[in-house]
Amino acid sequence: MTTASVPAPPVSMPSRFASLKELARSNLTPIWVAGILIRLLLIPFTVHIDAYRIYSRSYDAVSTGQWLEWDSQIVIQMVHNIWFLCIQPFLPQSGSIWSPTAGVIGVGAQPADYARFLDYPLLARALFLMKLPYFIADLATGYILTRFVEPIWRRRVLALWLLNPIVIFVSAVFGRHDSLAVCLVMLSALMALRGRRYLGMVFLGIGATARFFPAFLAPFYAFAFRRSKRELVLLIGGLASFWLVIEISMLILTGTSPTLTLLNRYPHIEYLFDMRLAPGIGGTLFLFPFGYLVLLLWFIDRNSYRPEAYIPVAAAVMLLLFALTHFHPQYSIWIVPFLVLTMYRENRLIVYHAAQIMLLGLFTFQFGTSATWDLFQPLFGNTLNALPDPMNIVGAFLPIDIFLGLVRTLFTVISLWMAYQILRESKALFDVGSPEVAGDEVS
Amino acid sequence: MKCRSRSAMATAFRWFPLLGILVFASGCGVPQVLTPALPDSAGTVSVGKSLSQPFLSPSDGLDGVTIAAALPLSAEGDLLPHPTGGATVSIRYAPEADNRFPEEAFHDWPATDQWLGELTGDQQVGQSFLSRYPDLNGITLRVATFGADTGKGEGTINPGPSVDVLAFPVDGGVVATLTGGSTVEVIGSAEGYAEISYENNRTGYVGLSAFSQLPPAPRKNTHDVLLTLYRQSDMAEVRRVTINAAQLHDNSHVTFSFDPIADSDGQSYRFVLTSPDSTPGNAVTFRYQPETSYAEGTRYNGSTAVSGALIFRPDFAPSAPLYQANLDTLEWSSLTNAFIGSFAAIAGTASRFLSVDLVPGSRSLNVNWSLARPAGGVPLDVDQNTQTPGGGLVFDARFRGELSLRAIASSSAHGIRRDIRHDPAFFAIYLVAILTLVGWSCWAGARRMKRGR
Repeated sequence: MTTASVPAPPVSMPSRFASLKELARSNLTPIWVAGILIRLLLIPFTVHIDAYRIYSRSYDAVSTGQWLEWDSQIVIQMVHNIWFLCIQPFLPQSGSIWSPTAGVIGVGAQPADYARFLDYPLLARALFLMKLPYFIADLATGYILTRFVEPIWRRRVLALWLLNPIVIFVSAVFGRHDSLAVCLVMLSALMALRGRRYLGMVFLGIGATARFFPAFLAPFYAFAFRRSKRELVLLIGGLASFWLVIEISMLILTGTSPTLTLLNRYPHIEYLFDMRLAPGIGGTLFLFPFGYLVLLLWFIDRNSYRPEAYIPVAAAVMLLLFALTHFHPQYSIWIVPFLVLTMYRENRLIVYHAAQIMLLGLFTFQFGTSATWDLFQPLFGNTLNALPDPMNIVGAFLPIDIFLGLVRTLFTVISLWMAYQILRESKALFDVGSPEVAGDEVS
Repeated sequence: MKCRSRSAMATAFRWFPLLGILVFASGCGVPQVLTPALPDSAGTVSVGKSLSQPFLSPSDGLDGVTIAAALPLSAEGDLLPHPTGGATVSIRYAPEADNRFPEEAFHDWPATDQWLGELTGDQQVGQSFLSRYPDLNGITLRVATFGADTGKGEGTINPGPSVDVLAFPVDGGVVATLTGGSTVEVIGSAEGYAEISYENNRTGYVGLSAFSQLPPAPRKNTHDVLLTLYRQSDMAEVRRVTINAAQLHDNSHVTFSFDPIADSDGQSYRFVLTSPDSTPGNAVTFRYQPETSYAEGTRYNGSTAVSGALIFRPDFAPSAPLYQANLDTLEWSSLTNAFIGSFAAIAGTASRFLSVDLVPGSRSLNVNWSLARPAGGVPLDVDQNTQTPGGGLVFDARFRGELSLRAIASSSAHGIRRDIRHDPAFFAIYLVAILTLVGWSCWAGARRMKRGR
């Protein structure tokens, strides 16, 4: 059997105190400092209306006591509600800055509400407090990622995460909460690789209920970390139970199903079926479901009992997801964490990732000023109103359908190619095996 | 050789900061288009005499226009020589399409608008505004004369030919005809037309001049009404116009016309209405919006700024086209089936309504129209008809506006200063955190270097 290119997790787990001491002394310091500094400089001066929306709903929940009203993303909303309760005392006279319609599906926060928020005299403080959980989640994820690899690679892994423009853009500039779920998913992977598979399952479950992206990892998680068919049933059952508990609880408490609300009222499900082939009479081929199922069946067919196989296949799943679905730029943080753990020893993959970042920047243009210039409104005010929509700038040079098509094609090709490279480089982990060859638990 | 290149590099480095300062101070050109792509065509429309498509220009530096056209092609798919037979395209200011002033649609008289009191004696009502176009030559307002045109009761049509009854004054459709010498019931007046009641309480409008006899008016207004135009910056008088109140019609539009002001583009003015000789019962009044969205000017009562806005629109004399060309001489894109005209950037187009005008040549001219109207929301006008097709011309415009980097830098500095002033406690902690972080990392780095690691 050949040696896997993805290293096994460290065999020892130092105490927390020792870890922190080691952290302070390590050569990771410049990366930590740079990562923290960049975020500190950006956090109080940038924001997207999405962050305003979720905290407006929190204000609504906290002030009316209806904590379960926003039931479609109940877990992540609840986290924000609790955090808002903590920070509200530090935001005096902020009652009028939140949108009363942010919780109304189809209406949302109105521009006049958002303008009031941007005029809040303590805006910098508000933004800092609002984004503080994402900032901490970024740092925690960075720390977790360094625990996956040997000390010699930690500096690079940390840099690839903490200084990654996608991560900085999503968490610090955009103010997007996905970093919280990312942190849970990576913690889940670390726990599982250290033998605490059921604890990992709990974290993955929470992550999947916070954002739906980790749900696509769940089957791979179950197959990668099972050691018998019985365990497979338990892991799948456990993940399904997680969903059922939330679903039934919400049905009892509010009378509505979060899953049905998500399916019926959100366009996000349609995004999954956005790329398609219509070969002729008789049906349409949806590319992401097709690719995802092929990957899942292939993974099941390998019958691998190596837990380490989870990392590269999870990276491939996320690459596949973003290569073959429509997405908003703030979701792209999900590409990064598993990719970091597979590309840190492959300079070629890092170059591909740099190309991905550049293409994502161009891809973001299609979302107009709201995802570009408007993010800096807290700093520049209305000065940037003079800047045209990015697509109007692009349109001055070449037809936008060609531009967008080209960017999308290149991004898809590079992402799929990276997924293929990762799976090929990690093929040793996917060799057909048996429970006997699975490594011992390493906790 | 090496020495020379080093010297060149040194020179380049010496000039680099100066170059940076120049770029920073002067700003940079930002190219953009009106719409990222030509709107989807919903069909074609044939231009008989003329076509105009007003649009709101987003930027200065208009330097190109693209117009989609459905032209006959040769068997090989190429354009025929002189495909439009010399049709012309021009771009001009279109102040008449500018819908940002308080003046509403001609026939709209919303109940939310109100009349001021009678304009008498020392009373002064004023309104400031930003003139976005050159050749300002008038101010149009809405006036009421308290029934000075006609009273209510029976009126007699002039003997002779029959008279049309219009659905609306001035440009309404004909809804009935009245025979010469007939008698009708007059119930009011607007825009110099008598409002009449006919056939089962239906109402319509007949020109006041069509009557040989009208019910006696309850009053007559005889004194002069003055409009004085001041330059807002120094309140220097620029123009003065006098209209005698006897010439004004009840519930109508009135334009105070004056000689064009060539340099009115971008200037702020204030007009003031007075009628010093008018007395109660012999005076007119003007209409205003108590609540207005008009943000480029202020209403005044005397010299006191008050809320709302007078209902007005400035008028401008037609000005020379900003660009004019023969369509046949423009570049033809077979990718988009459109003519592409490029020209030197024209300043002073930002936030103005412009109009793309087409006049056919010796051949028929068919252009594409779209369900989407361009920025500004004004429909395509084909041969004086804005109802059909009602959409927008399939066209695009290109700009090269200047972006002031200095303004952005200054604005960000101002923003940070404002934030610090508003929340010194937070920024004190914030600054301490950043300095601690930087200080600690420097200390850690120095220590590491000292240890030779």
